[in-house]
Amino acid sequence: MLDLAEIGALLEGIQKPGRYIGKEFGIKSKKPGYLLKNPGTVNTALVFPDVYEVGMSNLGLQILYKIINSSPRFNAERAFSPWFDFEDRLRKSCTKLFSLENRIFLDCFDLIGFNAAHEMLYTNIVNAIDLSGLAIRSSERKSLFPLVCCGGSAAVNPWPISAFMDFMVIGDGEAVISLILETISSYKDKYLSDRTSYLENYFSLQQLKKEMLRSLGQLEGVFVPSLYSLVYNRDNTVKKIIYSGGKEDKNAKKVKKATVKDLDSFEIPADPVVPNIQTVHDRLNIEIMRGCGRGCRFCQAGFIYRPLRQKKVKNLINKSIEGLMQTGYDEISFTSLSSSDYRNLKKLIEKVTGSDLFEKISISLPSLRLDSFSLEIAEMIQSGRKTGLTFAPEAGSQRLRDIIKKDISADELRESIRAAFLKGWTKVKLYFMVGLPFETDDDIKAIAETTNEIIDLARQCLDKRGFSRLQLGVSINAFCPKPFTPFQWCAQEKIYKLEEKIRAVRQSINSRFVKLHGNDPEKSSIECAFARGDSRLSDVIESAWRSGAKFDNWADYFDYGLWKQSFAKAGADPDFYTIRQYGLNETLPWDVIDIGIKKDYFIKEYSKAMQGKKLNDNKI
Amino acid sequence: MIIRFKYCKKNEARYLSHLDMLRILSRSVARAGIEAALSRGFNPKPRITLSNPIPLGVQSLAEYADLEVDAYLDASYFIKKINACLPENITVIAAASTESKLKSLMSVIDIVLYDFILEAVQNINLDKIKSFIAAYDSSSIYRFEAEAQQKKIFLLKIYGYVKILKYNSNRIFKFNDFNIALKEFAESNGLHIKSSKKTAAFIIKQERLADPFEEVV
Repeated sequence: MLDLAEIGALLEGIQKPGRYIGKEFGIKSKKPGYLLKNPGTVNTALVFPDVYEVGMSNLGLQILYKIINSSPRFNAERAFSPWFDFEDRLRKSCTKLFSLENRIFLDCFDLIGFNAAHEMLYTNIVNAIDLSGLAIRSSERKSLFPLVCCGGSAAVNPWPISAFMDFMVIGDGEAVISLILETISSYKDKYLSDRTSYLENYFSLQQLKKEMLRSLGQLEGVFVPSLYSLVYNRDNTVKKIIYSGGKEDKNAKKVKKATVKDLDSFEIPADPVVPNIQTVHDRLNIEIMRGCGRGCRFCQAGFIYRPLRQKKVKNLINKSIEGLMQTGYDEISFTSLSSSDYRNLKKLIEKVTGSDLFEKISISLPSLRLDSFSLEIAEMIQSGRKTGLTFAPEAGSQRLRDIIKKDISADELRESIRAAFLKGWTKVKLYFMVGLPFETDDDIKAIAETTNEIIDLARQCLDKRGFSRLQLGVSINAFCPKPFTPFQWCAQEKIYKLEEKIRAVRQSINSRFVKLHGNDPEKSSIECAFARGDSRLSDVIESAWRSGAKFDNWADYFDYGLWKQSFAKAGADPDFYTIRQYGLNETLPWDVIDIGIKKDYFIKEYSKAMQGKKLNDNKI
Repeated sequence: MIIRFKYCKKNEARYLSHLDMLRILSRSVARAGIEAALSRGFNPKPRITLSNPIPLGVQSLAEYADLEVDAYLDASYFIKKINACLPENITVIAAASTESKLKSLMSVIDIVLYDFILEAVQNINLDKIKSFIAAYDSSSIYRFEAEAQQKKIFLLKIYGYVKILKYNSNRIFKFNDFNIALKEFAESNGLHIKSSKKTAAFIIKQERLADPFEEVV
């Protein structure tokens, strides 16, 4: 543990020291005295592998933190990636990464759990393991604890990060976290009851660890990498998946995603830790439903978070108001993948806007679909202050929207934007993708056409003053095929092609009113490689990390050249994972996971998309 | 009505900035169920104003803030309520309320007092410390005191200006600059700075240092 003087010395001259001090309102961890008195407590470090401001905006962290700390036998503390200056300070002073609550060094925990929210966090995960003073590869970590695990949406294809993990959690964390900690607890008891003999006998300690991992592997949603391996064909595709966890079962046992059947059975966290410093989403986050019923073919979240589960509106109303009072936040965000689809959205918004609190707070709904119904909701929450509206047509043409199953028609889009302008909105954001399957040059042209059409609409509908204030943000991102989607087999477009397409859009947009942004296609390409990667990519991650890659999600720190070199050093070809069309009969690395949707379904959806292409070829 | 209150930020809270404090106090007031008066505009914020910012990393036993409320609020009730809702290391220690208008804290506070504790490794003459301070930019220091607390422990009290006063060609006392100079002096004289913190803030009233609470009648 670090004391106040030690942390003070470490923080001298460090940027934003508030990131590293904890002591916020709403902390739930056990006190040091409690931990001393109860040595059997299972201690978990929940690590979001990005800076504090990003990590504290993550709802998953707050959910697990609350569940774990509600048990007297478990303790959870938080940690985040240190920024460059503080990492430097830690390394130079030989100080290990520590938790915020009790400033316990991470290697003293029983479990370190990372949130692999997306692929570009992988190097930060490896870096955090190293900063904890542990060997980065699980095979080289010989002590019983800490175990290192991760979960989150990137974990649905566990392979690229698997070499560093003792186990991984696929699906809803709250469904298994207690079982995982119970299992660890029983092995910790076993170890503590006969500690000296385990410490003297290396073999029996390794045996105990193996047993513990095997029991963890029996739990729903838990993937134990050391029990599985991939065998490759000469063309580098996967030949088969081998499971070595049980004698009786020669076929690879699939890991079934963990699913919370009834979301209402978990208390909505209305008393989260309230950050002392400003965070990215500095507001009360209330999840209203999980999953999405739309099935857009490009959207991984839409498939891996199935089934669609809606929370009871009465609970949401109560917890929203309770949460606002308990945290003192002046903003509340209702989160889900597609909030307009929440069956009681209007009632929820009416109740919250009708409460006494409303004059002091604002509401945000980050994922509205923007049809006439949603516009009505948007008006209710933005009465007076019209901040901005976001539309996500995703593709420029109707033909391509049909192919990707983005269920919004050109008329609908035009009408809702017209209505928005007439009601006084002047700030509109549009989301598009380029490089979608079956895309033609006409589809790219249609992006600019749609955007220019919206400018014309604005000219018609807004008065002079409104029109002069028009702000149109257009975000263009490269499509990245992801596991467990109908497009999982599709080749990603080559980087130079993607760049060409983005340039083409830029040139044909009336730029006076438009601000263009979007992710770098080079970054999308690396993201794609890891999303669809196999066990060989662990070497690439290690190599990139050794060459200094970290904070890859930060545009300023992502270095494509470094990544290309790292692929080469590890003897892997990024093109194999990105611009290659995967075969429908190929064994996919992520076939080891049972996400709850059959492969046949994805094939059917994929062929429907292909037919969409044929049927609508002449229609734009 | 306005509640003027004094609070301290100790230990880890020294790393919270002026803007952080504004946000933390606003949220704590809301958590305490205290109805703050709201600013106008589309994004109404509770009306809270703070005393002069202090450098990041410096503890304070004497921060001040003014909170405007619409209804009557008892000062001791306020202290009790808000202290239950503040994050660790931040505590309200005094409060007073008034119905009359108050000039903003930043416009009235003239002087801030910093305490430095110096520890000597070898014997050092107190006069040497005094002459160091006297030689330091004296137009930024209103007055100072230096005394030996124990044999090798010295307490310095520096009353620094936080604003330029009319008819007084003073300069503003910059804590960080002084701290660097003091550190250099300490190092070359076998001393080290054991602690430093802000301990008071004053308004100059007819050659006298007055507490900001005196404004609240």
